[in-house]
Amino acid sequence: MAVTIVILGILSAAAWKRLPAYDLFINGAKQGLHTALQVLPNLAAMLCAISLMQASGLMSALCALCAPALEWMGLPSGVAPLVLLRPMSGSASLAMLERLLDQFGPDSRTGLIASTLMGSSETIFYTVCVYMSAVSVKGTGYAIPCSLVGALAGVWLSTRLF
Amino acid sequence: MFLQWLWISMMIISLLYALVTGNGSSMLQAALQGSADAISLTLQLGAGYLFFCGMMEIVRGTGLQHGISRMLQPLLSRLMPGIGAAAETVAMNLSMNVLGLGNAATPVGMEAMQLLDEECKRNPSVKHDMYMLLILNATSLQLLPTTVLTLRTAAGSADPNVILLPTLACTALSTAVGAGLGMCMRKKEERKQRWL
Repeated sequence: MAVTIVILGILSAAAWKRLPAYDLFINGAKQGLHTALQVLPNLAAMLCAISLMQASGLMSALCALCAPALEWMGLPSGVAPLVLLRPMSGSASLAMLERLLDQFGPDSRTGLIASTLMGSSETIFYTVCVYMSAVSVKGTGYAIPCSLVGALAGVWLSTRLF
Repeated sequence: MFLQWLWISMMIISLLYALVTGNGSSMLQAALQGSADAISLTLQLGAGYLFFCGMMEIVRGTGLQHGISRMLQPLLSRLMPGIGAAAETVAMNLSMNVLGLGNAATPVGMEAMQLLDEECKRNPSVKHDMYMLLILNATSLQLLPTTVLTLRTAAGSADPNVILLPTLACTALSTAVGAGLGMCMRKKEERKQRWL
């Protein structure tokens, strides 16, 4: 709804100013195509690694390993795997949320915390990986650790709110 | 470097773990599944990139972006003092994120990264601004978690919207903590540089 209004507004402004909107759109879309092609190899590398982690059973082993620390923070045990999956894979964490809502109910404490976590955080590794595909600078410095700590602060707050 | 290190250790440890637990035969299939996922995800994202990049070019024609970047100027000049020519693109990227247009924000953010990258060749301290842009996007401030609301409704929640305010609080805190830490790290590294 909001998006529809924004797009309508942009196009009306373009018509008002008599801009060559069609040509502008084509030029922009060309860049978009270029971007998509640039992102693909980076995504393939990351998604392969994540797929290997899941298929080898390493992901569930890591979840089991980290679960006690997360439960100590006040997190219900069902949510711990979601916290670990969330920064790595958008689709896997979405599937996990669906399962948790099914299993515990959307209005249980687990369901509420899981929904809040999913809605308030990003797929950190994917984001960094895609953005870095655009540049020649190779290091990400302190960007990933700072983002992870920030996300963890969000996790902590969600356990205090429910 | 972190990405290099992360990727190779994810790969090697997974493969070793699979061998140890007797899962070794399914690994090639899993790797190919990963790149197949990448292709379908790119098609999905690419559709959004084509449309939104096209629209963005029209926005540039109308000059709307000047107003947005002027509004965000006080905040940006503090968080990312070195952005220079990338200011307008960064402002567009951040406001799209807040509006929940994640797919549209990505190509714009990448363009901002490219502009900063150019700047970085002349002035290496701009890399801190690139890190800040990464942090802001990775801890993304988001007003309306539409997907989660849909899932909650589908699961039969009595009140799907009850998570809205807590979600806002959590996303605000995570962005604030991430950005704050980033600024601390920047100060620390710059101090170190002055001593050298």
